[in-house]
Amino acid sequence: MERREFLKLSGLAGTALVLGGCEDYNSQLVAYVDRPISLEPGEGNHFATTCDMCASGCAVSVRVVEGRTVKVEGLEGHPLSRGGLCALGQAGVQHQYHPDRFRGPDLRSKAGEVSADYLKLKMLGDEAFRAMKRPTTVGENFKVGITSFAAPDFALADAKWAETRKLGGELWTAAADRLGKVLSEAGAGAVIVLGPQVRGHRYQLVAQAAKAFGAPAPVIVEPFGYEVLRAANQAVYGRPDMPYVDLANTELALCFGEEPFTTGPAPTLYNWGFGEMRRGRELVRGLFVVVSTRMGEAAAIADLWIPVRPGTHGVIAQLALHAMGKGGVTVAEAHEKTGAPVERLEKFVRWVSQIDTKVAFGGGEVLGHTNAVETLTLVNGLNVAAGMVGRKGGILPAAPAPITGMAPPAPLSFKQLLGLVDQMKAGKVKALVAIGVDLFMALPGSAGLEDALKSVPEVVSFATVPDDTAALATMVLPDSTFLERWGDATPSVGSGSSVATLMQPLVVPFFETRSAEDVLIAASKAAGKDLGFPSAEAYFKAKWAGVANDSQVPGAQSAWKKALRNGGIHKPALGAPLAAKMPPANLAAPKFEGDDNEFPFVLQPVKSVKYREGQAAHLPWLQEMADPMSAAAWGGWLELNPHTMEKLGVAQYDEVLVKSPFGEVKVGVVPYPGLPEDVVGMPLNFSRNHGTRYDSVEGGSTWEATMKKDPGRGQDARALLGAKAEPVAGGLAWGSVRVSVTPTGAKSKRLVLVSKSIQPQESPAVPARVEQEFKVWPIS
Amino acid sequence: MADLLTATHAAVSDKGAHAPAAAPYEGAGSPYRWGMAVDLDRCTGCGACVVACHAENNLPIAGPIDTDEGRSVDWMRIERYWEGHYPEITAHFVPVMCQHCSNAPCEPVCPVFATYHTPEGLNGMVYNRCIGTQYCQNNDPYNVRFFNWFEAALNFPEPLPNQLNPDVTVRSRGVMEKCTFCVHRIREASSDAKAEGRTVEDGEVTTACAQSCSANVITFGNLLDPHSKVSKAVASARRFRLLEGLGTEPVVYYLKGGQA
Amino acid sequence: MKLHPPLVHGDDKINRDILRPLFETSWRWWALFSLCLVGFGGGFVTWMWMLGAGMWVTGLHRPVMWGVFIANFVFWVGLSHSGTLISAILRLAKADWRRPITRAAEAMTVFTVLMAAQFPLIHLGRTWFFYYIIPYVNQREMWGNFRSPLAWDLMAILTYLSGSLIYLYLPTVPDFAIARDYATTPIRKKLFTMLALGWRGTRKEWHRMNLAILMLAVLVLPVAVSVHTIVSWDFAMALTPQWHTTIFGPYFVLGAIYSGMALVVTLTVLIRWAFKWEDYITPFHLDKLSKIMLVAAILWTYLWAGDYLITWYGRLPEEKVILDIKNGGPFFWHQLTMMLANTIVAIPLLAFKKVRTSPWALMFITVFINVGMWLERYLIAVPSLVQKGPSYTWTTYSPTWVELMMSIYPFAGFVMLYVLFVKMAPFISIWEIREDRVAEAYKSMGQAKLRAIVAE
Ligand SMILES: Nc1nc2c(c(=O)[nH]1)N[C@H]1C(S)=C(S)[C@@H](COP(=O)(O)OP(=O)(O)OC[C@H]3O[C@@H](n4cnc5c(=O)[nH]c(N)nc54)[C@H](O)[C@@H]3O)O[C@H]1N2
Ligand SMILES: Nc1nc2c(c(=O)[nH]1)N[C@H]1C(S)=C(S)[C@@H](COP(=O)(O)OP(=O)(O)OC[C@H]3O[C@@H](n4cnc5c(=O)[nH]c(N)nc54)[C@H](O)[C@@H]3O)O[C@H]1N2
Ligand code: SF4
Ligand code: SF4
Ligand code: SF4
Ligand code: SF4
Ligand code: SF4
Ligand SMILES: [Mo]
Repeated sequence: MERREFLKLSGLAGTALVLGGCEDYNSQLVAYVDRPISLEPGEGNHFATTCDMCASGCAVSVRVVEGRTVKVEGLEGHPLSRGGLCALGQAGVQHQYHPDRFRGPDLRSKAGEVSADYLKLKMLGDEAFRAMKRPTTVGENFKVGITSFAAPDFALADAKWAETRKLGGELWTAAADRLGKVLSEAGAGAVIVLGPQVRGHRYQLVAQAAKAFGAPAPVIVEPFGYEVLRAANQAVYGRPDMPYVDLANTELALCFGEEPFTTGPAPTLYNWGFGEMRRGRELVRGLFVVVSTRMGEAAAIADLWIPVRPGTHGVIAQLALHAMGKGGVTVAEAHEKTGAPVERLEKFVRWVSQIDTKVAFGGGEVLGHTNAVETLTLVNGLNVAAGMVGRKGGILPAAPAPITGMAPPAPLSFKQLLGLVDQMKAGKVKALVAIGVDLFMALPGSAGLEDALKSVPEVVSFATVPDDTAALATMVLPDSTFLERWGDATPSVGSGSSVATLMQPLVVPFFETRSAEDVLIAASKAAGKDLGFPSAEAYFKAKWAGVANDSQVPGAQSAWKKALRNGGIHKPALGAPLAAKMPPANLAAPKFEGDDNEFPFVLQPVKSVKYREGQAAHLPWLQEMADPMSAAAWGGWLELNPHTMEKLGVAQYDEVLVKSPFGEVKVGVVPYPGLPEDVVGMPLNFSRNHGTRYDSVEGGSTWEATMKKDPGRGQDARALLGAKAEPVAGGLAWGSVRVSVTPTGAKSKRLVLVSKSIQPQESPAVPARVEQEFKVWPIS
Repeated sequence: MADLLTATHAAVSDKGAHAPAAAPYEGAGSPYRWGMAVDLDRCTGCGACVVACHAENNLPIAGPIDTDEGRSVDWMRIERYWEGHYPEITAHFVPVMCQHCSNAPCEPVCPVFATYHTPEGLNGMVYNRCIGTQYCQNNDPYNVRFFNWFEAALNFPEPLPNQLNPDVTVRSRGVMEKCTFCVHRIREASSDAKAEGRTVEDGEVTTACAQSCSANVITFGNLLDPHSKVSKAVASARRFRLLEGLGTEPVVYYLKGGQA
Repeated sequence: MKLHPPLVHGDDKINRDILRPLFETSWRWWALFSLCLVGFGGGFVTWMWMLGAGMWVTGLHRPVMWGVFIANFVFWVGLSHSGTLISAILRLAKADWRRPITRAAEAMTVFTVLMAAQFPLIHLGRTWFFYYIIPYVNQREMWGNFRSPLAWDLMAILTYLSGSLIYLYLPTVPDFAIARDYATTPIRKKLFTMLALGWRGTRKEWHRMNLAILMLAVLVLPVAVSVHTIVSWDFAMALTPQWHTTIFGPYFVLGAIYSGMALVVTLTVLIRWAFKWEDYITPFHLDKLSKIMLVAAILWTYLWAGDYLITWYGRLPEEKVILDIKNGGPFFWHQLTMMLANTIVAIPLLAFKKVRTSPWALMFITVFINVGMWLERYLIAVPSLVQKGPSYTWTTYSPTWVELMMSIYPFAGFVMLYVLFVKMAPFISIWEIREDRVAEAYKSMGQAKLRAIVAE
């Protein structure tokens, strides 16, 4: 068997690693939840691979025990993860062992109608689990968890697994034929979309297949993406890609709207850089300044927070220019335009003018405003003005991947995505193939994607777990997770190194899932178009043949081994010098949808670390984790300034109806002192209409669903947004919507709060004892 | 520049501060005294440590309703404290786990010795002794003990159980649980060291939360080793401990945030 | 009723009157009994359901780990006090007026402790392993932790229970003998013969009996006092704001006596009415009982105020936030009702002899007092927990139907046992009454003070 072969060759096969055929494999399963009185824990082995839960592309170290991946950890010394990991990366194992994961190909006769074969496949799996006394449903869980300790019938289980494998094999053959047929028939009418985390040769293989079938080049769809930032980078640095923001070596960091540590383009990298900036140096403690409307995690830990009216971040950039004696606006004007307190602005000017080694970067909430490009261009301009472009502690050029042809093309802008949707509506798209992306997460409810997809004859989804795109698909061909397949990636942001990471299969998938590469290769073969590679493994090995020459280790094989052990290859490096064009300092006022009498509040959609751009919504760990700021969990919430709450006469947990010109949602209220009184915050991308048991809009099935009523997660902020593109770069102006908030008089059944008390408003007494202890010391 | 950053220079230095008096407690004699330093000035509240602890220690999933009813289990949590009113508002993050108090109030009240102090200064929890009186949580000033209100199996439908860490038992319904300082990792390291006739070296063992934190907020190690990273970190003038006035003598030391 | 011609057992009327309930059962008895059975059964089923499902069916959650269950525990232990206490004190004080009510009180003690003793089990997460707490030589090589107040509880309660049981049974033996001699049906005869332990009423027997009772009374007093002190230590030994206070020992004991006295009065009035025992339990007795109650009320109020004043004046941040939620906030009504019941209403009213001697006024007051005392227990256990520790973890607490059922359970259970007891034993100590009567008869003779002949 190929994988076992590889593991022998690569010398990584750990002593107790069980990677046999699935029969003996499955009979190894032990359900730890049944209180393992006599379990001897097996030896664990760590394997390096690449996390593809987001585009950052951290190399990770995964602990594998008895054929299971039990823990994803950061890879020591890797330039991206820096030995650490983000919350989402930690949950990789939960993504892999998700109870609602697709169990095999679902070849449907009609869009959205689960095929009989798939149901059979699922039933067989359930029977196998049942034979092993492993509950797969809440009902069984309740029984087994409390009563049944009957002995597992492994023989029966193995028989069932064998059947599943047989059926699965047949289905995959059929799937390959059908996919081949679909693509051949669609020809130029076939559109292939990939997710932003596709950062390596996967894109090239898909492109090759597209070419073979005469389809246009695949496109990358990036939900709530960075097109405006790329435009700004192009304008100032002469290159669209994301440079390396050298936080670690700077003394003053100016952060405009971005949440770099939670939802930014590379959370682990920025987290590390921040730690180094603050306490990594013997004598210097760098200062961190955040300019934003909503106090998020970044603002919470800033040495100086400049609260500004929505979309006026650019004014502060102009103030910084002024502080550096490069024109711009005065403190008085800035206060006038942004509403930021004068003394903070003065402090800001003092810091900016006094500290030389400084860096400015932006993103986050800024990206959603109609003047985003101008704002971010100004922000980038600050680095030019300060002469920090290409300087240590400033903006450094991202190095290209050590292996050529890895980086995929830039993702579609939102405008282009809308164009695609229109094409679908117009029936120009014959077949849509979605690989690693749920299109619904990229579009406001008002974009009408559902109708558009319905007018596409063949929708093929490679989703791993149920999502809204898969729900409308005619074919679901479940992809393997990053713990089960071959792959590679190069980070989407600069890291001071030239990085290519490798992904390797660490365990045999339980279910009949296959990596998209293998499926496309088979489909092409079936359609008589050979891509020239027998398997994904062969494909990636071939693409990495080059590493032999770069590496000191003689012989391709050993270099390959080395690369596998190190999670790829990386060496400190910088790209070609960036341009440093000083941009014009002009800045348009932000525009907002909706009349301000009818819609008195500006909606600040929130990217929560819990959900990111939706990749995390189906993971119970992240659903249950308290949002660091609002302390809410399991779905959505509406952030209201306590004074606004008084005015509206609503209290914590009250349900309100939030209306925008484009839609409305009902949601529970959370007091949020970190917002101005005329702005409300609400998270994005935490629920799906046809999601898993954990992220469904209407009631999932946690065990409570049987004992108590799980109300479901409800609609998220996408339902309120307009399908409006920002003029310059065509980005989605998701921060430019006004809303009204009206109490429904009911208590919200959906709001879940881990902490119900907001200090200090509630308890003047306690801070004296508890909070005061970690009150930060003031800074001059 | 000058005064601003020099001011910083002078005060930022963690040097020259008094070394931490290892808090008094019975049963010393072990070469180890595990402790932790949490640098609040580095913590971005990203929550990676929270999920890391879930993954490492097989924490149960409570589900939406019980989470809201206060029955979720987070051995590590990021407490967020607001201060003031907009725009004069600040927020602080404090990662809080069991403080492994040297005078742990939770221990004497346990009628069956299910929670007790190990010679290494850990507040241990032997689940199969616990009968669920819940007294220990009432007497824990930090509210970091978590009761198993329902069978953990209920929220681990297949194949989810395969993510569980075989080194840590899944607690049964009705017992108390809490941060163990990833004791199974300590056990592994110390028995390895013992086999090789040496003591555990600094950095040989770390906790899941510390490991996951890319901002390097958390330092774990042996407080009895004056050269260990944690001993050095804890020597900082920024050091304080939660509710120090209670005299619980925690071994988790926090380093004050802000410019100092 | 036609009783079997009595053997020589002195005053036949007393015997007949007091033994009547043992041999006659009205439909009212059955009605009351079945009502209790329903409440008790309902509670028991709920308990079993909770054992099966898990503690999540309660309103408990972190950090509120103790709620209604513990409030019930403390409340019922408290109720148990006055029974033994007054009977013991009054016996030692040779207060003759005690005679008609001692047994009712002693029985009350036993049954309330029986109810109380269940709650430590009910609130356990793993009730099925409760025996881990018992210090016995076991395959686990483990003793319980003697430093834990819960371990002290266990010992105190068991001692108290066994003590009060004997203390109830012993003085009943002579009456069982009487019942034996009056019994008609063979089953009753057999039963009472067994219970009477072959009591014949010889001078020797009487001598030993009185000695034994005297010794028990002396022994049971300190136990009674220590039990509730120890229960108070479950709280006082903890580091939890407003639990950690030295006054709790005496405060709990007084609270116990107070609520116990109230229950004794309630029961006495009811029994007096139910069995038409007006000439055994007279306003004179009610007045005496109420006076003890009044003293308890005043002392309890004093200690409560003392504790309150100190906390309020000291203003420790942690304690102040707890005080605040009682003075305003979610626990305001609990505290107000408690103060009304235990102090503002009870003390002034009980000051009047008219009230102290009117059964139905006492009925109202004493029931209200026990409502207040339950709330007092609830206010001790819960508020300290909802806002302890880091304010990020603060919360609220509202009991579920499970806790409600488990609060009805002991009431129903208690009344049920009591109702059964009425059928099992002479409810007023016949021989003590007669002893008293005889003594009285002799008193009137000139100046001479002749000792009463204790037994025929
Ligand atoms: N009342 C009662 N007593 C019992 C028993 C009982 O059921 N009831 N059981 C008996 C039995 S069978 C045993 S094995 C012993 C068990 O308890 P023992 O093994 O006798 O107690 P320790 O050796 O201290 O616990 C083992 C080690 O585990 C570490 N440890 C502490 N907390 C944790 C934790 O949360 N997880 C893990 N993995 N390790 C931890 C500690 O460092 C400790 O040194 O108790 C015995 N005593
Ligand atoms: N979550 C968790 N699980 C654990 C452990 C843990 O620490 N945490 N510890 C593990 C360890 S070390 C052990 S040893 C096991 C212990 O697990 P078990 O062997 O289940 O130990 P207990 O449950 O304490 O006792 C088993 C049964 O013995 C019965 N018993 C008590 N006394 C006697 C007796 O005199 N004779 C007989 N025949 N039966 C008696 C009790 O009623 C109980 O039901 O649990 C293991 N599982
Ligand atoms: S940042 Fe992205 S790639 Fe890195 S661990 Fe987190 S999810 Fe994975
Ligand atoms: S992982 Fe580190 S930075 Fe993130 S919340 Fe935890 S301690 Fe803070
Ligand atoms: S923090 Fe709480 S649980 Fe941990 S040792 Fe201290 S008292 Fe015990
Ligand atoms: S809950 Fe368990 S650990 Fe805590 S006191 Fe009770 S028995 Fe001991
Ligand atoms: S030390 Fe281990 S158990 Fe404790 S919080 Fe960190 S990860 Fe969790
Ligand atoms: Mo054991």
